[in-house]
Amino acid sequence: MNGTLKDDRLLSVENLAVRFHTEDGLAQAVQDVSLTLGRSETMALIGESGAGKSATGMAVMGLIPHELGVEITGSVKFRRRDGSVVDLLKLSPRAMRDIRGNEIAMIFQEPLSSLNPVYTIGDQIAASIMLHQGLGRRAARAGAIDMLDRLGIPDPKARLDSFPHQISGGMAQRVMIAMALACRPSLLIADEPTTALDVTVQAQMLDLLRSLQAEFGMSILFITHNLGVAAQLTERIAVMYAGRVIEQASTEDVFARPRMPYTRELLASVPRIVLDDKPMRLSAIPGEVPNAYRQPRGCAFHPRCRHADPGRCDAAVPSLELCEPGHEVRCVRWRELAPEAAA
Amino acid sequence: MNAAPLLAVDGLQMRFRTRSASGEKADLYAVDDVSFRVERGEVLGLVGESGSGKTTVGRSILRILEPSKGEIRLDGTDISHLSARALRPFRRRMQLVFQDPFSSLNPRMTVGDAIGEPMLIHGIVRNRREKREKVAELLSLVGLPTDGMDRHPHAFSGGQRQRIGIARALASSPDLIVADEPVSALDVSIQAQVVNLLLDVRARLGLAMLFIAHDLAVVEHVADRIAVMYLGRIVEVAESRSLCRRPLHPYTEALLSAVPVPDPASKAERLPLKGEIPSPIDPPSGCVFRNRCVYALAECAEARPLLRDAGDGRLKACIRDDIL
Repeated sequence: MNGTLKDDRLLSVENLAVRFHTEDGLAQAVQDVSLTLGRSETMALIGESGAGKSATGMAVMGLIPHELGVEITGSVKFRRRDGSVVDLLKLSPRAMRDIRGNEIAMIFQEPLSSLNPVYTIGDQIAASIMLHQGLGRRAARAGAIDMLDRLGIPDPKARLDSFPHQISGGMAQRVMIAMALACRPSLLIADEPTTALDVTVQAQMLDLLRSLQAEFGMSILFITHNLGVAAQLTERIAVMYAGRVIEQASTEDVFARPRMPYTRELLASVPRIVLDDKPMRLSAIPGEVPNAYRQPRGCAFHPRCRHADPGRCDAAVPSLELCEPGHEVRCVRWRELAPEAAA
Repeated sequence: MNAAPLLAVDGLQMRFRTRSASGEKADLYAVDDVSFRVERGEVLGLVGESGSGKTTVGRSILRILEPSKGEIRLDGTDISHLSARALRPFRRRMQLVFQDPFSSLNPRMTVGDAIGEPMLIHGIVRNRREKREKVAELLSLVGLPTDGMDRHPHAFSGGQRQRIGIARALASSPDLIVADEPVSALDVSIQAQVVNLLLDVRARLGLAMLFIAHDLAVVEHVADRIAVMYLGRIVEVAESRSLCRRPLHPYTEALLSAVPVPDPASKAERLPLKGEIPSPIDPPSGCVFRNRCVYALAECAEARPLLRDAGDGRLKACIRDDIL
């Protein structure tokens, strides 16, 4: 069960694949995904719907049910608090429960549907403290108050007895973060945590996550479709398309020197506030995002790619190659296309 | 020859009778004293966060919701009190594009029937053959294959369905389209396609549009002018680029600075906006933004600031002229 992990690493996902055998056929949600996350590092998993980013997060968290027809392969090495390294995919459900919510926590997009409507906020935060830290009710409540206070919730003691329907969306998001961080996890998986929020509340939430990370030092795997949020919050980015990582680099490199045509075109299609007299048409990517059942042969992006070279791009899935230190790209033409990136 | 603006909304108010958190009867003003104009061929963007009342404005104009006060003039005729029958000819001239491309199309109707129905209702086509011809025209206008008309919505992706929704809205040759968050449910790459389609359609048909969205960057790309709403009121109106370049209302400034910039090198200074939008049941006195505003003075609590001329054809609802 033990594996090896470089000293500065917290998590290493290797060749992760998630397949669902369904009545409609085989859905390949995640294919050959390898990622590493350093201690206290924030990494974004970026992609459009169906890219496999949430399925990757759910697999790491052990939340994909082990049912007939579900196939999860590869390995997810995680460094525990005591220093031992475990493969999360090989743990028993019982051992995984020990880690989940304790050393690895997750926050979701819909704060109100992630909270139990029939329990008070205080009970919900205290529950994980009592379970994982073995504290009594009173001490757990004190821990919950402390956590709400750190998250900037006014009058935390009174809030403890509120039910989820009595608080606003922004407040519910803070409560969910408080629950996630109550046991001081070393890894936080955040799945589109600001997508349902208004931009002014989103801005508050990003500031909050940044300050909490500075305080607690956890690593964050931040799943988002919003390139602006990724640019402002993360140090590294893995871009996913059709279940695969197609580019991985530092956040600066992804934005300044994207190598994969999909990344470039995705960046170009984001509407930005324009202050000069540039034309208003957006640069769109033609065609549709492929679904997990029917994926194009070869590079999954080739049918939409204006650089596609028939015979090469549709022949085999390109491998993820190192194009410069710390920068990986999955494109057979990256060497030829590189000059354009520099321009 | 016609001097009246295409759409003139004056003093629009939408009141809902509800109960406060403590259970007492209370009035909720989702929209209060909203006035604006949309000229022929103009795109007016309506921007605001959730609870700002932007969707309610759109629905009141189409009389999906009955406004409690105010006038809505289409081409000079007040349609806010017309009976359903009298409203029908005006309905043809205003159409709605919805946010959710999945729930806004009837799954049991073919695409051709969904697009063709308004044309039959309004007597634009007389028979099946004419209908099919017109539907084919509309489908190619929105960039879909014409043989798609015999298929059902489930055969199409989200982006394609939004194109179908746009084709349906165009079917009755309207003068005004109310588009309520038409691209916010779409992926970024598809969103760009639909934004471009709306720009093309507008250029080709000379349509006027009320474009409702929360994403300022998207609205700036589509709209000629932008009206910013906060808690049921319009706080600022200006030409799109001027508004983004130099906001005059503190809320617009805060909204602009909250948009995450897709560039890690930009560490633009953010104006943190404290707290959240207050409950419309019990809004602050005077200026409804004052409790979150960094520029608020004691006077801001006294009277509600009116939307007034701020020069260069701009309007703002803020008593201070010494800021921004």
